[in-house]
Amino acid sequence: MTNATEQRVERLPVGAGWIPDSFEAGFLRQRDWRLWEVLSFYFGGLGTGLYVISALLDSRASGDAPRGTIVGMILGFLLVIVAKNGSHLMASTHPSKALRSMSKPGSSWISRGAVAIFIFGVFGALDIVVRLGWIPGDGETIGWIFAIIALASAFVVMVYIGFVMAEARTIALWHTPLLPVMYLAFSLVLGSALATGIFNLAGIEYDTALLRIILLVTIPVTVFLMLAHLSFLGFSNEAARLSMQMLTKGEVAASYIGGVLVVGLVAPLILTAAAYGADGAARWVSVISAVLMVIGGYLFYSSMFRAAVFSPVVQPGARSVVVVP
Amino acid sequence: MTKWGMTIDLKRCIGCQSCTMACKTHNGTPAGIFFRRVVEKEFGTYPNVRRTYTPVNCMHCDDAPCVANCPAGVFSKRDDGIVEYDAGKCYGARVCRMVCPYNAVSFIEKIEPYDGEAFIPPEKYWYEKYEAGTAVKCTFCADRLADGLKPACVKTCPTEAMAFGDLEDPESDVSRLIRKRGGQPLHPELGTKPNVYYLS
Repeated sequence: MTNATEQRVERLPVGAGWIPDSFEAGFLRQRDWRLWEVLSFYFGGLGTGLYVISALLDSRASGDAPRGTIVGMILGFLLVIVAKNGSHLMASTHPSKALRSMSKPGSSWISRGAVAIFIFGVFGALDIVVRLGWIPGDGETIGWIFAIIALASAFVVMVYIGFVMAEARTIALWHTPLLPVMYLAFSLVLGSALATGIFNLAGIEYDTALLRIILLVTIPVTVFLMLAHLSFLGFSNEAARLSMQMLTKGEVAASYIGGVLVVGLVAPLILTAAAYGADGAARWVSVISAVLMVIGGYLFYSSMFRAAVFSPVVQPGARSVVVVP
Repeated sequence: MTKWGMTIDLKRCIGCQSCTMACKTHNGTPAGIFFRRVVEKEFGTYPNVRRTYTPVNCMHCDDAPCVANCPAGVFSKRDDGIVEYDAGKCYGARVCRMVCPYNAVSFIEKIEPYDGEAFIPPEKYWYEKYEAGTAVKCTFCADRLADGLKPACVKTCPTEAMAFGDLEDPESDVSRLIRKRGGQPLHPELGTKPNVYYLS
């Protein structure tokens, strides 16, 4: 980036539109996806993460009686089916036509996500019903089939939004193969966090050691992915560097660095590691770190929208010059 | 098979926005919706200042991201190369706005009168074909093409900065201009294979 460009970028007005109207070349913020889209993607990540982690813990639990961990599966299922889908409908301008979102699974990641949510809705419910022992007979084989399909569809719901966003070729913040992996990692962190919080608050027995290990692995991986993504932005085009500046020094920095990285990931990691050998106070430490992670997760989803900047549409050969009023 | 395409001569464009007005008039788009824009850009510092104008509309890409990514199948590629849309299928996902590198898709949030108070008769007539909460875009004036006419922007340009024709026909105006002047699409590196070529 040239000095002139750096000066221009530094002078960007905080919170103001950069292009006075659509007839001037310059960086453009994405303004189409806002609160309801953030909420729908967030609830999707949170719900599927909680479902998958709870299913894992439930599969490891013993005894014929319904396990408490199934509460996490039910809550995760409801977060996806009710909260995520509800937010999608709120975001739609014509919700009555929302079923059309499944029209093009061959090429559209939103369609693939919508189909996956539908499959998750069917097989997730069946999986829960089988685990609750509400079907006659043994049900073990059919239960495994339901569980595998539900978990596979949950996996698609976790990652599809990353693929949707990565298709935006001029939003450099999103146009990276790292994004689906980041959304997968955050979904697992959020699911583990919410499971920890719910099970500890409700006094539900679960494999504490396993969940801690999952957190101690997924949190550092997520931090690494965040830092790798920021580094990638630093070596990309001007729009990418502008997004990076917004995330690290600009108007989204408090949310991204402070909220997501420090409060949502590093602090819970330290708390979880500290609570590893201390069972007495571990319950409340786990609850506090879970709350921090759930808040940090939301800030991640919203920050990725707030820092999204379009590259300017300019003439061939004029790309090196940036004009920001 | 005809494949419609356009050339835009950046040396001829004077930024008068006549094409913008012609597009508005022909398509009768609601307030704030433009299928066609002439984007201005200023270079340098006083006294060494230069201003360029880049007319931008839908590039009718061969690998159009809007066609591939719209989950509702609103956009489709015709045999003659035009990317058309069916707003009746749109439920407002707005992913088309994210994936189009040229900001060529507009989204009608709401339909309001220009003066902010009441619709004048032409507005009532024009806006009937649009629905709030749907995506719209340039269609190369497909209705005019069906009548054997050129797009409104091409017809109106006072400096004849634009040519329109069949890219498959080597003797068409657009094919000859692209060959002669080394026409380039805007941001070919994005890989969408646009059918609007810029001459500079």
